[in-house]
Amino acid sequence: MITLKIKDLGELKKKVGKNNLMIVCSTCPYWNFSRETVDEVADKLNAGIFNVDRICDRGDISIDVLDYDSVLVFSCGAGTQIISEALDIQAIPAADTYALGVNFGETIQTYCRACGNCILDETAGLCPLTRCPKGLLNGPCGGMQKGMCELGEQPCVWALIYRRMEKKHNLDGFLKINMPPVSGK
Amino acid sequence: MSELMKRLGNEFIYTTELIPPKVPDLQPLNKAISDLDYRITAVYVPDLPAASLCMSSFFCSLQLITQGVEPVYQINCRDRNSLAIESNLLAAYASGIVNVSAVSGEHPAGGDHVGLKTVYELDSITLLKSIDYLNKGRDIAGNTLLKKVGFFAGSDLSIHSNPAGAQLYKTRKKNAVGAGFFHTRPVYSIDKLSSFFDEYRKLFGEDLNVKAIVGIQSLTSIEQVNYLRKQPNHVIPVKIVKRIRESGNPREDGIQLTLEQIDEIKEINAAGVHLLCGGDAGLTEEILNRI
Repeated sequence: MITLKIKDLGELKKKVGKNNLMIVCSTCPYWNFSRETVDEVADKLNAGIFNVDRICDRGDISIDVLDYDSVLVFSCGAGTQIISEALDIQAIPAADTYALGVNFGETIQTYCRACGNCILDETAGLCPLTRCPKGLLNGPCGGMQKGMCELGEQPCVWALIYRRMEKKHNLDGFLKINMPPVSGK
Repeated sequence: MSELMKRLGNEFIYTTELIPPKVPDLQPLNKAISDLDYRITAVYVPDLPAASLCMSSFFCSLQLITQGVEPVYQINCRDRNSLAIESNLLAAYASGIVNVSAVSGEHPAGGDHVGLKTVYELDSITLLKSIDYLNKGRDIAGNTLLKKVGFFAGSDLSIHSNPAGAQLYKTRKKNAVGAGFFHTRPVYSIDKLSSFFDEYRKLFGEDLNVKAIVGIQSLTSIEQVNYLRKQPNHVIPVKIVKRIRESGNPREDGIQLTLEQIDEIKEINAAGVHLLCGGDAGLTEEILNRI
């Protein structure tokens, strides 16, 4: 699912008025956050909630927003654009949109950046473009230590790819040169 | 053909580095260039090291050429896309730059431009491949060049990163796309380096040592050692820390240590040594005098 991060509420408060509406998509926000969290965001921003079923499937949205000082949209960036165009307003995004995530209960991890150039069959089924902070296509950087990424707690995806290929006796696959789209490959 | 290309594998060589200054003034750069020792084969110019602002490695490499010193022009993949890199490469070759080192580039999280938009369209391997393409008279997109270039391309080598197998395989890929030399990150244990070379030979049946210019960081004080120990890729053995800590003259002991390491590196038939003396030209000169 699409990963969302709620924007800084202090900064959002500066952008909204006293009587606001927060249009909430039925899918991604409730996949990323609990209903309580969504309610809490609306409360803090003096906004009532208007739920819309899958904004991205809707070309016919019609909501009367004339009585509100500001309209927030809690969805992905596509949803905020649909609302802005359909209602002819300048909607305020309540969240930042990231790539596609996987829910591990306590945490959501980004697994796919929807790049349109899938090479998962070349990389043991794990995406280095998304899961390596540098998006390196051909192996780990020198910062990998004990199989961990130099930037923090996450494992180095190239260490995972290496181990998977080693386990499957396919280390020759590691030697394949993955070229970027500009090369035509 | 560059001096680096000519000498590598035929004689034990010495390189050093020139960190581009962070000043809009040519004087410090020209002073650093004029202080360089004549026994250095080529001077490595890092491209925006530590993801922090300084002069461009391209310009500093050109200044070296102007003053008769051979550069190793480093290009990172963090700050430019393939088109911009190829453009710099054409201009570099036209200006007399032959040695190029291709690196992926440090992540900006540790630099002075946190939040920087990064590129990484290429990585060290696909950049080496792009250089190989240019050498063969075409660009990465498949367009033919009017004239071939003749770069001598290399990259970096990290022996401390693990699982070591992943680095060994990545190094093999660099070799496969034309890496002619490797500058290692600072090495403090020659045994560890030797094991890396042995593993590489065992896996791929070829010698890596003959292309390796081994980074040796000169140690001059316990404060410096303590600082370096906190940096990534500086794995300093306890006995070295102890030696500098207990020394009555750490600078002299540091020089002794470097000389001992150089002897050990010669014994394992590496191509040369990359002297990292933090811009201290006097220290570099003293080491070279006492070899």
